Amino acid sequence: MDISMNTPPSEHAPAPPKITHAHKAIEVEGLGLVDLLLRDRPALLTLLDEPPRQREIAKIMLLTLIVSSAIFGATLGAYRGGAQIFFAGFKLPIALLLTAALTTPAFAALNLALRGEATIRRDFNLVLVSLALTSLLLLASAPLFFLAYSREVGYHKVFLLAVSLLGLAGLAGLRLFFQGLTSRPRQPVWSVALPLFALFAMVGAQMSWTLRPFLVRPRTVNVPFVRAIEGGVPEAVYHSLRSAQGIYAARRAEVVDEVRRDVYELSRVEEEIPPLTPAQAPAQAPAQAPAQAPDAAGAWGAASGEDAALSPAFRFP
Amino acid sequence: MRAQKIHALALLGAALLGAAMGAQLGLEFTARLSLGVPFVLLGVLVMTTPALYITSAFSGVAPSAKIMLHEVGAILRDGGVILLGVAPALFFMGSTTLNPWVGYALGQLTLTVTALIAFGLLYQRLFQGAKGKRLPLFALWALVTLGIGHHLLSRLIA
Repeated sequence: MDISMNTPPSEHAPAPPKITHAHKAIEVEGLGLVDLLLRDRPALLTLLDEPPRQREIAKIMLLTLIVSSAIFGATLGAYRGGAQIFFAGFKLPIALLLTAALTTPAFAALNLALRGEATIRRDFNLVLVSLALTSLLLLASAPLFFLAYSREVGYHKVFLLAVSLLGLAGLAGLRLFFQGLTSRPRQPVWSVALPLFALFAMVGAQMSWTLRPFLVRPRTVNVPFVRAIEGGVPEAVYHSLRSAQGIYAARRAEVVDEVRRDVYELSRVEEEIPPLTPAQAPAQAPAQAPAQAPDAAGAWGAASGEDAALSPAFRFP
Repeated sequence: MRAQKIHALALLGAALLGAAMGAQLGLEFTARLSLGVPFVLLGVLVMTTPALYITSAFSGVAPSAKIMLHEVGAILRDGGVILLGVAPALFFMGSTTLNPWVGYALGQLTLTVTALIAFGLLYQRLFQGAKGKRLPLFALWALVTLGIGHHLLSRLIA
C-alpha cells in the first residue's frame, strides 16, 4: 500500500494559499475598483493602505462620485425639468466634493492627534470611497424617481422620497467609513468617529442648504442657480420649532414667498401673482381679517402671514 | 513631521479657529479672537496644571513633574491640530448663515468638545494604570479648567 494513502494529504501537499481580501484586490484595476466597491468593500479597504494604489483609487472614486451624483442630481432636477436638470446635476457633485474638502482636514487632524497617524492621503481616499458608495446607491435609486414623476406624485412626497433615500445611502456610506476606521489596529475609534460624524452631518446639511434648490416644483417659473443666503439649517430648525410653538418673532420674506407659492397652487390661478411688498400685509390684513392681528412686536409672523394668505385677506385673484 | 512644525501648526489652528469665530462679528473681534484663543488655551493650562500636579502628588497618584509637563504640552499640541482641522468647516458654517453669532457659538462648541477629547487623552496618558482615586480629582480639575476657559473666552468678546 502506498504510504501516502495512509497519511493525511495535508502533511505532504502544501496547503492551498488562503485567499485574503488583499489577494482578491491586488489584481483589480481601473473601473474594476468600482465593482470592488460594490461587491467586496473589505478588499477595497485593504488597498487604501497601499501607497502605490492610492492615486488610482482617488481618481476612480472621484470619477464615480462625480458621474453618479451628477446623474442623481439631474434626476432630482428633472421633476421641474428645463435648466434645473443641469443646475442640480452640476450642484450635487459640487456639494459632495466641497463637503469632503471641508471635513477631510478635520478627519486628518483627529487621526493625527488621537491615533498618531499622519495619513492624509488615506484619509481623503476613505472619505472619497464612502461618498462614492453613497452616490452609487443614490444613482441606483434614480428609477424610483422617474416612476414617481410618471405617476405625477406631489412635491412633498417626492421630497420625502429624496430625503429618505439620501438618508439611507448616507448611512451606507457612513458604515463603510466606520469600517475603514476600524480596519486599522489604531485606537481609539469612537473618539475620532463621533465628532467627525457630527461635523460631516453639519457641514453636509449646511452645504446642501447653501446650494439649494435641488428639487423644485414643476410650476416654478424662474429657477435660481442658488438662492441668496437666508440663514442656515440650525436657524431654519430653530424658527420652525418656534413657529410650531406659536412664537413668531419676525417677518421673513422667505416664508411669505413660500406661502404665496402655496396659495398659487391652491387657487390654481394661471396669471402671474404680483409681488407682495412688506407694507401690504399689515395694511391689508387687519382691515379685512381682524383676527390676523400683528404680534406684540408689531411684526407679522410667519404663520400669521400664512393664515392670512390662506384666507381671502390677501385677495389673490 | 517634526515636532516644532506640529507645535506651530497647533498654534495656527487655535488662531484660525479664533478668526473663524470672530469672522462674522467684524474685524476687531476677528483680530481679538484669533490672538486671544491661543492665549486663553495656553493661559488656562498654565494656571491650572500646577494645581493638578500638586493635588495628584498629594494623593499619591501623580507622575513626575517632567512627565506631566510633557503630557500637558502634548495635549495642547494635539488639541491645536484638531482645531486646525475643524477651522475651515467652521469658517464655512459661519459665513453661510445670517446670524453673526452662529460661528462664535459653533466655535465655543468646538473648543469644548476638543477640550473634552484632550482631557480624555491626558487622563489616559497620565493616570492609566495608576492606583488610587484619580478620576474624581481629574474630573474636578477638568471642570474647573473648562470653567476658567469659558470665562476668559467670554471676556474676549465682552
